[in-house]
Amino acid sequence: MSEKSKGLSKVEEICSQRSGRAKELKDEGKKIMGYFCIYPPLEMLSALDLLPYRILGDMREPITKADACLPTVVCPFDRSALDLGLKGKYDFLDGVVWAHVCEVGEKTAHVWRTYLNPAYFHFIDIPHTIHKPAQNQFVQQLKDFQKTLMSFTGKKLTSEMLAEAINAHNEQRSLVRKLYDLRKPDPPLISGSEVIKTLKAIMSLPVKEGSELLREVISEVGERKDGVPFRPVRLLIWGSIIDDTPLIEMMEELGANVVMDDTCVGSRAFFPDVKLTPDPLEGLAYRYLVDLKCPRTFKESTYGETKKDYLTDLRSRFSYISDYAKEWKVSGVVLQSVRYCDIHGYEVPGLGDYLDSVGLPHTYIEHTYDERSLAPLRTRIQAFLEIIRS
Amino acid sequence: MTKVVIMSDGGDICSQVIGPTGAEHRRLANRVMQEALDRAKLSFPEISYVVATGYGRLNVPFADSEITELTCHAKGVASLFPEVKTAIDIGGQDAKGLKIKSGKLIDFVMNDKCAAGTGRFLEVTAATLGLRLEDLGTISAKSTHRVKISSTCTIFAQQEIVSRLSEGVAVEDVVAGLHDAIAVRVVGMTRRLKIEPVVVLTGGVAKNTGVVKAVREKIEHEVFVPPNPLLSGAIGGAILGRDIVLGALKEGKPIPKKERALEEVTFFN
Amino acid sequence: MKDLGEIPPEAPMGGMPKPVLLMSAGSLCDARYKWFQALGRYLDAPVWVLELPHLGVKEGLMEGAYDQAIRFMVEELREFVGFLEKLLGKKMDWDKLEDISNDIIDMNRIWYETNELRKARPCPMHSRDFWTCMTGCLYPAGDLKALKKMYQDLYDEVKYRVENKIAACPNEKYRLVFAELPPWHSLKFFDRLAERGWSFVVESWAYHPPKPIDLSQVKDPLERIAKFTYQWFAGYFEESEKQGEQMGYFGYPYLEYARDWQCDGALLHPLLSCRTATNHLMYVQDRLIQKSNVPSLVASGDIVDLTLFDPEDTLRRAEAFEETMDHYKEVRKKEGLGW
Repeated sequence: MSEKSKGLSKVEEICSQRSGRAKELKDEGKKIMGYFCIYPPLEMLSALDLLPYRILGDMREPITKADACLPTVVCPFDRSALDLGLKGKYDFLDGVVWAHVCEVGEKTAHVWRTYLNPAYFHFIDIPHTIHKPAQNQFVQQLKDFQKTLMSFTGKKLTSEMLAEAINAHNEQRSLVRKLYDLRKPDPPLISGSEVIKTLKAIMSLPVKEGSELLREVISEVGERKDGVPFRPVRLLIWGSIIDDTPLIEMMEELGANVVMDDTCVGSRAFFPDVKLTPDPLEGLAYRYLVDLKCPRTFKESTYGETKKDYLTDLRSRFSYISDYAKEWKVSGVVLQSVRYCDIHGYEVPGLGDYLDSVGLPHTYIEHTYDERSLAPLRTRIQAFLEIIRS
Repeated sequence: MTKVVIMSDGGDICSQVIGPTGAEHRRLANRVMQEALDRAKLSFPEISYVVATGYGRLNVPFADSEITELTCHAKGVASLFPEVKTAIDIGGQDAKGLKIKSGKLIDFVMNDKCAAGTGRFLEVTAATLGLRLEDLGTISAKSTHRVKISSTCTIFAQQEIVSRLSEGVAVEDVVAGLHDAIAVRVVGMTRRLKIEPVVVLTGGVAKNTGVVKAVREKIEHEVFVPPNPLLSGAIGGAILGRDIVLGALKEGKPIPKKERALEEVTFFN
Repeated sequence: MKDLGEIPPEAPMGGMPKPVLLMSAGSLCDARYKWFQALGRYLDAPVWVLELPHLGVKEGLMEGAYDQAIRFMVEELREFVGFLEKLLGKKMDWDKLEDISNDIIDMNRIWYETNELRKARPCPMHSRDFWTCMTGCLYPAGDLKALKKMYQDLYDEVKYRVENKIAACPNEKYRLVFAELPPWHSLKFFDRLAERGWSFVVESWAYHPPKPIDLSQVKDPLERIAKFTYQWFAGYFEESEKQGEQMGYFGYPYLEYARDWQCDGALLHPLLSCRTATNHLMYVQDRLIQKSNVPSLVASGDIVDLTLFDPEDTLRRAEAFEETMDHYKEVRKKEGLGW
């Protein structure tokens, strides 16, 4: 990696060869730990001087090998990630940590472990609810994770080490929130594609290096003139993972700036902080189980309520989205999901009803996590923008 | 099909032409345009503004702007039926459901992935039956015992038709079954928008009285069909183009035109 | 749509009454809780999600993990009881719960032992009977004592058949395992295979009772329920670990079935409308052939769309599959696999 590139050009450089820095550090003796989805607590990896490296798919690469292990009718993102694994593209990982985010994710974990058999593998169970016993269970899950991590690294993981890592990650999160502040002006100072690339880059770097890169991007973007052109519609994009830019670029071409997201290479992964608790695992467990916003966790307005009021329930689950819409001055919401994602799919009708109730226009699109599958969506997105503008 | 509608500043239709379809014909949209110009006794430079819509909209070299067929259809249908709330368009390649409020598109659903529930479904199955597309409506009117076509897939439906005929089922009952299958599919899709009257059916398939009847049965409301159901998208496009021009003139701004040439459409350039 | 959220007029027995509670579970598939949550659109009924830990094999065997999982489930069940008492305005009848849970556990044990008897050659009970009889255990309702007696009678009958070598499939030529949900609409299909000497001796892991454990010393009925339920997963962890298998439930049980029920082949039935129940079948197919030299015949189908299952085509392929099974029988013999 060139020493000279900074800020967004460095982001570009990292995204063109995402594992570059990890492999460099591996040569220096650092252990690289792949993680899947946003639920494994990264702080526990950073605290042990392991590099947390997000396992992603590649929507530009046809799936070939994974078709021998998972049927085509399951999450194409999971299939793509597994496919890259089977093709040896994650061979530089010293270990992998996976969490029970969803049913297909769970099975993919076991398939990965079977066929790729990394030196270290840990599967964290995540409860489906945020009930008190579920929170306790998650703390215990993290304790077991801590045990296997310590035996893998041969190091003790103390509360002090964890607290330090929590601070480092919280700092990175506050920088990401600052980056998102730059999306608030009209036109935004940074484009939706640039944000995705930046976040993808920092998900491939040690936490402090990632924060440094964020600082560079923030200062560069804050100073540059005419970075992003004015576009008549400001969109928020919600849903399953978006780890590449074609969809965002299509929206930009059609006259919309994507100024906010609720996706997991996005605000969902970074917005909530971890609170420092006497036992740091408790703060971690709370943040990852309760504060993360993925629909994989069952949430309701009142724990154990015996009466259901639909709109109250929707408000408790989705009001943060209309808060985002207000703060980022959003004129429409694109709900998107990869095909066969049950947890996002089931969320759509309710979220649609909620957005209707607050008067936010929305549309739902589904894709197969394949660059080529996006073209037919063009008409839908364009018509949606026409509706907003009319 | 390539359709052209030329509209005057007063909103009158000066000419309308429906040209042939097919990959080669589509490329020659400029010829359909020329024919429309000839009929209206106009020359191309006299046209103030051109809107392109539909699948080929991105590649029309003589258009000033492109607007989706969804917005254009809604506009066109609302100009013909001002009270419309739900419009269903069944074209040759896709089917759309539109939710319209005060003449404006507010929501939509579409099927552009699969031939089932589109005109293509009827084309393929009519060919299997050795019938002409335009005769299907009249034939189905004779049906007394409509059969149920359970396959939603066009290819499987074809096989099902063959096996039904070999069982001795009357052709008209099979055709009525096909109409019913299309209606089930399209109305089912449109239900996601909550169907409210006034309901309008457009697109080439709306010329088939058998499908109209089947859609009416499913919706349990009157279903209106414009006199020329193929043209509502083009009419809508013309109205939107006219709105753009009149809006610019009203504000004293130049008409937002593009460099355009009445040339062949280029695909895959 | 006017009838959304209403009971369809043609529903059997007048349809289900509007529920006072939607009880869902986070077990195995996401639709179980996400669908019930989405139903809130039409039903103003509260939703309760029951918890079941989903540990990996290695994690599930870590020191203290089992006890913690049970503790978690018991606490959740206690919360649930509190919720039910609030919702229904009455107290839990603990004696009744004790009685019901003991009956269910007992019933499942008898049913488990019945299925153990199917290891005999020739197999005394066929899959078709399994599918007819499994509902009582899996969805216990009505008079449990009568149900338990039914299972006891069934056990006695199957035992009698074993002792007298009465085969379910008169010319048992091939012994097969079936997975997962059967083509309910075409169960007759199994009869056609039986005519060819195909005997389905064991089937779908999730529909089989868990391996019985002694719960007589467990005082708290909630703990008994938790241990009984978790056994569906944990019952396979130790063996799975010994075999170096990672998918402790959904995957590994089929290796055990193939070995203990001495299967020549597997019939796998992937479904589009129940993907969770079947998206591991490719993996199962691979594990079976890799580890045990047991080949699989894959017949795609569906439990909703009948047209996706083609019995004629499957029968044609079944004929060819017999050669495959013959071949692997020889392979297993050479490798000393014992069946």
